[in-house]
Amino acid sequence: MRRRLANYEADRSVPYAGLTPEALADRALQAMHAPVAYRPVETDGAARAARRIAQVLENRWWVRS
Amino acid sequence: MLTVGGGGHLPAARDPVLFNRSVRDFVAGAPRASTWVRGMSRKRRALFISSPIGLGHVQRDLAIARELRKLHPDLEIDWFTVDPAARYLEREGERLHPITQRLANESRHFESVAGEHDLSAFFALRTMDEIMVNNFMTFSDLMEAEHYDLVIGDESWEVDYYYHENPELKRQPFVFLTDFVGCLPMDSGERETHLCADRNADDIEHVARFPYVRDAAIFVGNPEDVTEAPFGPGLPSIRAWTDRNFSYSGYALPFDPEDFSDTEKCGKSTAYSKNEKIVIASVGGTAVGKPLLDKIAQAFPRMKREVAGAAHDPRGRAAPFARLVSAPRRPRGAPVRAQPLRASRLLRSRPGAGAA
Repeated sequence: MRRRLANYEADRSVPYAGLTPEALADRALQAMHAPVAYRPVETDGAARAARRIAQVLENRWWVRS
Repeated sequence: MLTVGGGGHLPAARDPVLFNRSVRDFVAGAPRASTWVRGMSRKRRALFISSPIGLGHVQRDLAIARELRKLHPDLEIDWFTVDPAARYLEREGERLHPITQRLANESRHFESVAGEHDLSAFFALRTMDEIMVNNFMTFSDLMEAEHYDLVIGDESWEVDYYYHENPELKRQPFVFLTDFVGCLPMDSGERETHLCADRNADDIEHVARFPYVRDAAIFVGNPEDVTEAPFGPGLPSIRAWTDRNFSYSGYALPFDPEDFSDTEKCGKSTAYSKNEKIVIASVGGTAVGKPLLDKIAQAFPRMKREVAGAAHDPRGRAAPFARLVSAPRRPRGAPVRAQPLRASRLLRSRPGAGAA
């Protein structure tokens, strides 16, 4: 999961073990005031998956054009 | 007399699907009443199996199903899942197959084996054999009783695994979706390292031996999301193997961020006032994240104090900061909607907006 977030430059993870509410509050405030700079997430994933599934349903991927 | 070729001790444990089906046929025999619909009289139907562990799967699955309907408007889609995903789908007007009443709940199993913000996903998967078998038997009964043109399974590990173990049961195309490939140990302990590698090797052999089980395999994500680490000692790189055995769809978002890019409009359609700063605490659809939510709730007064003290509006009073929007205690709660999250991001992207 962290790797994925990092790929979008959005990894702000904090280790849970030993995390105090105070430290969490400080980190959250820090994040809130920092500029937002993560990479946009693609929006065509569902359509791409659907097209692949439709190819299976149609079962003609092997026809030469 | 039934002989299990290549079998060993404990057939009930080694080959539970064959065992259960054989016992059922021996004890109950063929059903007394059934309906067979002539091939050309059948409607085009797909069964969508959506992992109920959390709510992320079902939201992306519904987005995929809606796109699929655009391509094939006559395709009827039945859903095969349990709460919390089932409840979400019903609220969205989708049809849940009634046989899903028989399914055991994977989500509750994950919650039951989780510690405080601590879940060993591998051991959670490894200790749910009985759930996997029960759910596959339910699926298999459905496939016998009704006809589907296609089965789509998002993280449907039970169907994928037992199809590979009992490939003769497959009777229609099967598309497998996942957003992770391979189990890696969370610690360097010998036992977990060995068990993970063993399970990975099993999956690799399955896919190599029966390539026709998965008519397509879609990784919901991008190649760079997949680790280069090997599946285990002497096993291939996970990334290289995934490249050879999956297609990548990218993220399947259940909404378009562009729809929420207008801050003013977004603010108007949510319950938040213009100058309000919003903090959303979201931990997914299982109850595994409840301790984290509790900790955030404890952190909130400090956040409110810090910001209220630092920011003043021109009228000389503390700027409004935030309300704590509570999340459901139980996994059955509604999924977090995109809109407040977008509003949150936008407000966060304009620091000081609340201070005028």
